[in-house]
Amino acid sequence: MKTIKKLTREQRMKRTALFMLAPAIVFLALLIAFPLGKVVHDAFSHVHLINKSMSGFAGVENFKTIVSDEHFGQAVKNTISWTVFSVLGEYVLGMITAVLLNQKFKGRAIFRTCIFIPWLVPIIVAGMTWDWILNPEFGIINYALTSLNIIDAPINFLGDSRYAMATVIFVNIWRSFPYYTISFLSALQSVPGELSEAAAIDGAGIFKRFFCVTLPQLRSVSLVIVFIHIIWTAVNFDFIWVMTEGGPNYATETLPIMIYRYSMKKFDVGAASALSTMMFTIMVILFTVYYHKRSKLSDEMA
Amino acid sequence: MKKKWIAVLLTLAMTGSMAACGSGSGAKSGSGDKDEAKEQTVELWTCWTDGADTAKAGEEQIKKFEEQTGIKVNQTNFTYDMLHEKILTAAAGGNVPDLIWGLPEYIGEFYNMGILEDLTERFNDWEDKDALSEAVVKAMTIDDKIVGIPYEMTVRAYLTHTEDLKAAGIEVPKTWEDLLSNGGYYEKNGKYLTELACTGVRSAQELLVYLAQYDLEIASAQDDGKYKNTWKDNDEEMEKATKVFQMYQDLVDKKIIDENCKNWGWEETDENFATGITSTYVTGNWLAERETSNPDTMEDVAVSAIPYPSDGHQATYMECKPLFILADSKNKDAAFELATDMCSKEWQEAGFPDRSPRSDVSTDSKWSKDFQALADTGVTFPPVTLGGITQAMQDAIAKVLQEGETPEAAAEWLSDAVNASLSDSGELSE
Repeated sequence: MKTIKKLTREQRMKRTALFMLAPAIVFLALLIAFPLGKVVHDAFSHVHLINKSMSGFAGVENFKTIVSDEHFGQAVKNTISWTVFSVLGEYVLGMITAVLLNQKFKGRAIFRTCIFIPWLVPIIVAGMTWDWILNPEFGIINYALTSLNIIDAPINFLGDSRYAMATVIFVNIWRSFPYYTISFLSALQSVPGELSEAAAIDGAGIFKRFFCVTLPQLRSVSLVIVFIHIIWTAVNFDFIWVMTEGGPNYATETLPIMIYRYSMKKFDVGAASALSTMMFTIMVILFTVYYHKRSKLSDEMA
Repeated sequence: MKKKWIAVLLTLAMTGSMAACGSGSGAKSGSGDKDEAKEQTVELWTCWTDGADTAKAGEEQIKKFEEQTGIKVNQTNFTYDMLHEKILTAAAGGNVPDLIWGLPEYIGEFYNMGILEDLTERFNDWEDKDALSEAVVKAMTIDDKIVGIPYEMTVRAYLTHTEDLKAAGIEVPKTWEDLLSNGGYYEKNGKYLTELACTGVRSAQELLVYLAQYDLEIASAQDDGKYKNTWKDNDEEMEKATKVFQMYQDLVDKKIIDENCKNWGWEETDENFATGITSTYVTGNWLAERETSNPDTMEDVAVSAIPYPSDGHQATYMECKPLFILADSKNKDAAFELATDMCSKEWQEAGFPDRSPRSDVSTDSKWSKDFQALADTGVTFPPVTLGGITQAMQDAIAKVLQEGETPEAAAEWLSDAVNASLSDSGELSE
């Protein structure tokens, strides 16, 4: 005769927890783990939407295709410039505006609300609006610059490869810095005013007080926001796509746009997956570095 | 025990709600089997311009179609680029609409992907098929199979603002040489004589025409049924291709076109012409719709043949747009009924009076008559996968206009790039 083993309270709790988590696990497996596994699998396989004769194991062939692409080197440089300068610009501008908005002045609440507007504008609207503003024929910026005799002839900001990348970075900074502002502002409000006052009594100037007292207090929020934005910006597709589609002549093509080009224009899903796998690996490394730094910082603060 | 039951119920509720979120749209809930059998729904994807005459007529005709047939039409509108992307992902996911508007460039690509329904049998049984010319039916055919029902046909023409040319004291340029002899036009008139599309599919269409004016094909059919760009195998062809790219460079160098046009697509070029920013442009008769939105600047427009090289001949781009029924559609008969209704005389007269593929629909306007007069010189893309090829054509233009490469180097590069693309898609003749 079979005896039914009675579960302990702890075992019952574990079983209930597992039972409750099961739908989420299934959901994650279907929506994240499976597509990710498929991408990695396709990276080492011949997969082409049109050419059905391309099939089977490809080894590192897809990776070779990507690395030997004449635009790969440029796309890597573009991705680095786009990410570094965007995050740097957003950080500096976000910090300055946060410090300013942390001061007491009339109408502060209105400014605090207004500064968030660029971040609320949908990407497609922001991109297309800037496209019109920067237009060399009838854009208001070129009109203003030529009217004030600052430039002789209109500049094709988005159509000239010398200016295109800098322009999309500028617009991206404009759109994203409010997120930094709000994050820094909330962190600044938790910095005790006595610290700054004590430093002032000890003779520290305004810059010294900022760099030696205020900034160290923002280390934790800075780490989170910078690492998150490095990842978000590096994998961003829509903003550049809306503004330049990677042009003119690949001048603003970043790795996510290259992935799109391989999959949707050349239909080479294998090569697109290889590039996605490369990007994913880099992002995992970045996340590991972040996690390590974050843990270290938490230990220090504890 | 109570906790256990709550956990079970919660899990069931969560699983149930997820299942509900993911349920397909094919079956209708809340109606009986009887109703489902009666009511068929056709998912239709269109690419008309919202608010334009074609769209207004289309919406009315859809209502009539629904009333007459009892078939429900679920219509969604996109731009062609959006539709193209969405259909690729929808096909990969196996969740496609029933009927879509398309461009001729998609025929080879979609056919090779195996997502198009073979309509040959249905087409042969269609009583109204004789209203379509042989050329139109040929444009819908690949591998001897009819895969589309035409809904619009246009050719490109050289549109000119006659007042501008009159004020400048020049005749309509007939040849490239005529065009290139107007070096001082911008300085004298404060606007550019003409323009080019250098990005998007329009740029490839324009380049195709200029190549065809020298009898050059971007990919020629070979004996084995596959395709190849043959310019590098033939010095004369390479010389002619070089001349085409030289013409592009000369147009910019002589300030006949705006140098900023190197990143313009059809949106900018059509807009510039319709609003009178440029004096002439090679485009289609859909600009007739701009007579309503821009009456002042569009009233002086005249239609001419596209300028051609004096050692070449006239050519234009013929665009016969197909309606595709997707192979995975669950309502093929209803979709075919709607497609043929869209190609009916009534619908065409209402929505496409100046640009109908039917030989019995036309008007006396310049947008119909003068464009039709150019149809004999029409050329089309070869029926191959064009994604990589049209991108290479844009890149070749950019090499000349943006990277400063010589026209000869650009022509050679394009020849190799086209063959590489054909090789990738398994269509290259070895």
